[in-house]
Amino acid sequence: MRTYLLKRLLYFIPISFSVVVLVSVMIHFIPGDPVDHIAGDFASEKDKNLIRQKLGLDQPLSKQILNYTLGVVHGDLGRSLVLHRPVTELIGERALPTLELAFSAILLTCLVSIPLGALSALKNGTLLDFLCMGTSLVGISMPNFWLGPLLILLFSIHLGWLPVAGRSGPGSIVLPTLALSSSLVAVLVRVTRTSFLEHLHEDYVRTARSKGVNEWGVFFKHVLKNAAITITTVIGLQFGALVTGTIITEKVFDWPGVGTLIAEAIDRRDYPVVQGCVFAFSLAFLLTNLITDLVYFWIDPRIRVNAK
Amino acid sequence: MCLINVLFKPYRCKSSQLSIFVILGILITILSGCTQKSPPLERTFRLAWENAPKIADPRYAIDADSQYLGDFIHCSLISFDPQGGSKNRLASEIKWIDSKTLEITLRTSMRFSNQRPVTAEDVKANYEFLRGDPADPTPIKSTFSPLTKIEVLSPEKLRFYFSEPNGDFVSNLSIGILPKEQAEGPKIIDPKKVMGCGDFEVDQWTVSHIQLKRKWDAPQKDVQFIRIELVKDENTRLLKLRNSELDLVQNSLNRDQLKKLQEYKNLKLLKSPGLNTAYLAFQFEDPILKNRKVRQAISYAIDRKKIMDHIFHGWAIPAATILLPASPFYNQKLKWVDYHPEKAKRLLDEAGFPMKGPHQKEPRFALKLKTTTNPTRLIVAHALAEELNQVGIDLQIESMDWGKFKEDVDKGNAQMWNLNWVGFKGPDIYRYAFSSRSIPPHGANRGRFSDPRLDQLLESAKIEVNFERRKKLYDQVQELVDSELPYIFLWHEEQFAVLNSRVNNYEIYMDGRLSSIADVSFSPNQTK
Repeated sequence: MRTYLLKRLLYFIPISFSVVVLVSVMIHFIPGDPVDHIAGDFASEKDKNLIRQKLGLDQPLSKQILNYTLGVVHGDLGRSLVLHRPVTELIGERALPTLELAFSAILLTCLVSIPLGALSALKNGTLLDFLCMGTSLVGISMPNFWLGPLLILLFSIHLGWLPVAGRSGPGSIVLPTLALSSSLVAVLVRVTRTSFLEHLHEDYVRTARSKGVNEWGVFFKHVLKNAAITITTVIGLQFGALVTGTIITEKVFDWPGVGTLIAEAIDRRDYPVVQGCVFAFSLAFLLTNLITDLVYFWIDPRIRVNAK
Repeated sequence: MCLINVLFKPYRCKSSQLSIFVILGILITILSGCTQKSPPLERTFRLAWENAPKIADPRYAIDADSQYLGDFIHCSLISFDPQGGSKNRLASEIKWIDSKTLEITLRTSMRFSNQRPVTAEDVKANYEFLRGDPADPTPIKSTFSPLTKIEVLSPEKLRFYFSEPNGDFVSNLSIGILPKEQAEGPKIIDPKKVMGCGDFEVDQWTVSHIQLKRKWDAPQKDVQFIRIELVKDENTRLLKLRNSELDLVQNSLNRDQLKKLQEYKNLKLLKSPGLNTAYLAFQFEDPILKNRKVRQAISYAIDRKKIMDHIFHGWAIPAATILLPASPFYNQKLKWVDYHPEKAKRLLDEAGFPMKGPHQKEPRFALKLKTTTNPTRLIVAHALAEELNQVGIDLQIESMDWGKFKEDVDKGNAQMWNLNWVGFKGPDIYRYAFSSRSIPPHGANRGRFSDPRLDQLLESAKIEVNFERRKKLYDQVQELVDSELPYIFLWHEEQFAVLNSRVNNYEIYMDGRLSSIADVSFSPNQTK
């Protein structure tokens, strides 16, 4: 187990390094000059050149990328060209709101989808199954930028129960969580149902039934554990996507997360912030995948045995 | 009780699983509630901005939002009135001793946050920094390069000496003043450390809002706190206004929604002329567009009134030049061009571009107009294409993000483009936009327009410090630009402010500043 963990953590280094270099090269190919955003429209070329020199933007691209990579190795993600603050600080203050929203959305998704998907599989072909699948189809079909304002209109404007937007109190997380979860729930309900249905017709289920295990016992002791692998994979992927920013939901609900930070940075050609965010995203995704794999260990003894 | 238990009774959920869910739920709720305490609503003015100001240090504040914020925190030698005219603020008197010497007398009543009075030494330190060579260069160093020496005559009086006469310099005195000890130091990144001599100081600065607190000297004013919410989405700003969570949104809403907003009792709408000019620009190196008759024809082919009525709902006034009619340098003789498609067709025929094809129904020529992804600018571009199509010009639209657009127009890779000039104060904008010395990267003459007569006039106007003589020179500049048409001036968009009905005495400033917030009052019993 320890060797496995170590091996996985060592994988992080080449992957993150490749991501940093690739993004550093690509962002410099996007047309537009960050100095225009720093100096404004009325600055003279002389002033712009001084700023370029100070920020090292006049150096060859290879040198800029090398300097940045060396900085990353030393734990320094650089400073924002426009906001003049360390990138780690900028990402740090946005990471907590993003994690809050990601955790709350995934929590709600799990609480709703797994029971609903299981119920749908158990009642396969009935009206209840049809209702569950129909509802999930609606969830997938509704884009966040449309659902978000609808939720605000209902819960904030008409009912007055919750604030319109912003991160200004316990109630403010409810609407963005609902908006984000709608599509996640839709996917996870379907995955749970399919996974359960697949396992319900396996030989080991038949054996359990013939041994006299009651229907609920079969379901939770045998089917659930086997179906959990697929469900965990999807939850891991969904959580990874949530952690790496949900730009539209953050924008609609005025939620100060990393998604809006990188969107703004791209717009301003703030290279170090874009590089830093992508680096942080890659780490977050790798970490989520690692945690998902560890959950597999916990769920399925076969994987534990194979790993040994 | 575990939710699974409710649905599937025989299965018993483990208590550890249950506690994980409960702890996560509580943690998230607590964390999202961890916000700083809000000040009393009846003493707080709440407004929303789309973008956060980049810096509170006035020496480096060049974006509009930082400057608007700086207006509350800092005092500057001059400021601007609602009509865009300059007025003294920290300075009580500014006078030219001769064409190269400017004498400034300060008010004695202005104080920094630490209650120390602002002195001539503080002013000197700020301008010495701006014209000097700090380790972190300011983007406006060149503006102050003609300044050769600053001499302090007394705690309230100082003199600026210039290498050459500079009539435009006074408009550059609107930069906030820091105390000497801060002005001589490096860039101040932490906004809370910035010490200003304005009416407010920074109380909170977070990723989602900025809160300013009034200083000690005006407890009788209704507004003791200003809370600037950073709200990216236009619809969210609108909904926050509807829900009375904001007192003001200025200019950053879709104009189509304004009529609807007037129906809500808790909101009111104000409008006022804005310091901006929409224009259509031409590339003079293009073989078709360097023909003056083609440019004139395009000008006659545009029905400005129709576009202003339909796209801006009548909230715009036609433009004859860059300057607004309220400017003291505006040339009253200029008239905006009437819509005259027949005249446009005649001019195009005379220019040697007849309609093509066997039945003369095919376009005379095709042009490409570049524009940004800004929705209003894009709609305007399509309206212009429709108008030009009527006179036989096939105008193709290419929209792109600001970075790519700016790079293309600066490099001369655009035949035509539509854009707005915003935030300019004086007539020196003509030199920046049309002088042959201002071709990028040295300025904004992106169309590569060159006219020795205009260059001469602009140079003479630059060194003239007498108002009447400068006015005459700029009158000639405007007439020459009007006849040569390096730009077609379209309109000046009006500004609007949507206010909560509890707010009284708010006034829109022509340049978009929000200075009047400091003096508004709230209606009693209408705190939300």
